[in-house]
Amino acid sequence: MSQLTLRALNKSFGTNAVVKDFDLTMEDGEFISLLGPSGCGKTTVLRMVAGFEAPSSGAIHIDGNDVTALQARQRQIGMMFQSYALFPNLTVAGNVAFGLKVARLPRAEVDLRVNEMLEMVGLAGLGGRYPYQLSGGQQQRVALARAIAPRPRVLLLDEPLSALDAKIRVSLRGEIRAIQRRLGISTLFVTHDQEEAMAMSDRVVVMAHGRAEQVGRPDQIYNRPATRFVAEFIGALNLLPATVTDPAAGQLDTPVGPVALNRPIARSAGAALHLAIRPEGLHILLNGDVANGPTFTGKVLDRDFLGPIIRLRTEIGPGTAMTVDCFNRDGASLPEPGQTIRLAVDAAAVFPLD
Amino acid sequence: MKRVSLASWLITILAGLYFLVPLYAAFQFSLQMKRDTLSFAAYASVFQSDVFLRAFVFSLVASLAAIMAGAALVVPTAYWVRLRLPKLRPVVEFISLLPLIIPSVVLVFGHIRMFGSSSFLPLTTTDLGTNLLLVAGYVVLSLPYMFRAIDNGMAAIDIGTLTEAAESLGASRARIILGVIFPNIRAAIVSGAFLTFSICLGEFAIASLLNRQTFGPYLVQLGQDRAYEPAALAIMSFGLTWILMALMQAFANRKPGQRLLPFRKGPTR
Amino acid sequence: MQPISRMSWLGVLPWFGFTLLFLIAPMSYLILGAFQSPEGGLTLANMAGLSAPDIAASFWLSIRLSLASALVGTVTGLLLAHAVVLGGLPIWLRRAITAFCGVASNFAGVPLAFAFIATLGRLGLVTVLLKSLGLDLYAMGFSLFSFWGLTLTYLYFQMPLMLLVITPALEGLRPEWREAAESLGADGAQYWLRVGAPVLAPSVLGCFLLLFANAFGTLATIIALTGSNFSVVPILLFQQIRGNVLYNPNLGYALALGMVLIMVVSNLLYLALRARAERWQK
Repeated sequence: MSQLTLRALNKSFGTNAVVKDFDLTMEDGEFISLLGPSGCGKTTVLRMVAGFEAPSSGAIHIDGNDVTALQARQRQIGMMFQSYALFPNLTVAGNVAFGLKVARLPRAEVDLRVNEMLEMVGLAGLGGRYPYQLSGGQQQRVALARAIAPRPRVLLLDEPLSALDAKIRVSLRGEIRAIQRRLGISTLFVTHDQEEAMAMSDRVVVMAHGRAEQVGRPDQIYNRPATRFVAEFIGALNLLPATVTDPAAGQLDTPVGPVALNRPIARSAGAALHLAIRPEGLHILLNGDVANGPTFTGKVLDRDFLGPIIRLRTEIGPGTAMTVDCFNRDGASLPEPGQTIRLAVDAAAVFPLD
Repeated sequence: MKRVSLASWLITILAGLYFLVPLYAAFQFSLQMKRDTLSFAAYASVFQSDVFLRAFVFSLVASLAAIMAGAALVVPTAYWVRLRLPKLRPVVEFISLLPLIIPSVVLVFGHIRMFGSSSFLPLTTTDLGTNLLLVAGYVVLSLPYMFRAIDNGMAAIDIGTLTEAAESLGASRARIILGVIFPNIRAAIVSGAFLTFSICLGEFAIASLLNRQTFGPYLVQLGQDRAYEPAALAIMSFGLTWILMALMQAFANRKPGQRLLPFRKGPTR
Repeated sequence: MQPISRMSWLGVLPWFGFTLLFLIAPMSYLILGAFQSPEGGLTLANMAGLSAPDIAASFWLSIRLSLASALVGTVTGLLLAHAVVLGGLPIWLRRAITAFCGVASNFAGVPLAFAFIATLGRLGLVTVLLKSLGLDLYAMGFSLFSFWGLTLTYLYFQMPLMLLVITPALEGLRPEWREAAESLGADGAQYWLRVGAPVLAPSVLGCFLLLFANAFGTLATIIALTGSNFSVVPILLFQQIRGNVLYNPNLGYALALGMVLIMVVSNLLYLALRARAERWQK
């Protein structure tokens, strides 16, 4: 449907800069998440796109037209709020019809579109109810129907799932994504929940301190985090301090012995950095197994049962901890706390960070 | 946005004028008792009057009596109803709020007829009885405010759990009420007391119809007899109301705890 | 839960005894009296007597005065509350106004009347000031001791009361509603017409009734301003108690019952509307 371009957006409240030099180009029909901790500026970006906040500098284009100076009501955007924000005095149908009536569509067309929308979000037949008579999940479906009924050029979602129960959250996010795909509507989604962002998005923008730290597909963000912030914010992570000894050959020295990555490192010899290893990248070496990558020897400190995964906390050197995730296979023998084990990791799964 | 804000300022300034001009006018007027010079003579005249002092003290005593009687009636009832007799709650609440819809002139009418000379309880025939009736009237008038304040105070501290906790520690019933409940709702009682005070102090209809020489009837009489003293009293009354409300706010907003609970006295490291 | 023992009842006995003696019984006495003839027989004559011209006129005057003062109080209080809550005033001013309103809504009765006499009485500050500017209020027909003078005086406690009771409703208007409406293409007027006003309406109407009841029971302010010349119902009842001016004690009971009935009706409507308004406040 539409392309959204944000160019060099800045926003300050007083002396407090909350968004700094934010650039983003969203392709037609793309689903992009703004992910970050609270206070990272993600909601402010969304509100600037919506027209509720004016950028201190920078420009917002929709389909090549500069909308920076337009008021919210002139931008043809649809928005879902964390708190649903349904109009309490209007019925479900009245809520969905709101944007259509404001646009002065003929009555027959309004009714037709309202029914179509309610059917799409699975609320056919509930048009006569009032918001207070609905569950949270139903209310948010109405909010979705209301937002997309006027066929907005861009859909903006401001943490629409965070007020809901865990189960409904998961099922509703699938439905939102399915409807978004079906309508091909360009969507900007704000969340602090990495799982949500990973599961729903074409691309994810990880934000910190008002800046985009990394923009990429979910798998890129997870497997190849560009910065230490991204690596630590997404998923669990082990960080091992290291010093480069031979950049060309990929040799490093760590407190627990030398590590070889067998690929060039873009640092000079003697540079200090961290080696990042995901817990699920490590595996336990049994007697006789041969490792083709770095190995560590550690003592098991404790063991957490997490259902599909069993998480081991080990100590691979004085004061150096390493967390390991193992799949929970029935009958598999797992090391007990106090036991000494050997860990191995594929060199490709070890990435250097500052 | 700018235009809305401008209109807001305009409305606020107009309202401010409406509220402040009468206060200023009364103040200005109260200073003009002595010809050609501004003085506090009207205030001095008020304070030197025996009638004023007697009426004010009488009102003070009657209000305090009403506060104590009201608290003594409402606290145990609110506690019992929350704890043991929740079925009675709608009844107690309804009766407590009833005085809101009964004008005081109607209430005192009922009292005069009910406790007149031919009554089974002829309170109005003696001075003491009439004074008691005045206090009873004040207690009824302030019942809704007292009940709400205390009931809200009890709701805020979860009286049931507190009582069970105290019982599990072996406390007796009297000890629970005096040692646990009362200290925790003291702020609520004080806030209800200030409201009662501000209602009773200047009350007119009941006192006047019972022929009690309290502050309210005194003010009306003064308004008919004098020119400058009423203005001075208006200013003083406004100041007094302000002080009472400020005190009430201070007590109502204070969190129960800290000073009242000994085990929180200092950091326990 | 412990078993309810007979002793439990002792805890509430003093309270029930007191309210029975000093609230329920006197009110029942008046209500019964309203339906009794002086000889003690049941009759509707007293209630019918309320339609006598002078009594009906008193009720009508009371109702008009209460309506006018409630209407003016509602409108001005709503405007002020809107300015204070949604108008973007600095926070210290908002706090100051709210605190002042807490005081002013309790500043009724005789002192209020005195302050207004010093302002708009024949020799009041504003009257004299305007006269020196060539605007003679009293020559133009205004009097503080008239219908509109009383309305203006009542406003001093009605407007603050309105502000205090409507503020929660205005704060309940969530900013997201406005933003949602804007994102759907609505301008400010469309938002107020379709969402803001309908959401506020029950609260505003409910507050109006509260203000009405508040004005209806006011006695001391009128007496201090007009003596006993302004014959509203509370004054009529006051005089009846003092000196049986109606020459029929049972007619007095009917008068009292009439007052209570009007208070009951307006308060019931208030409660009903508040329940409707709270349904939306989640």
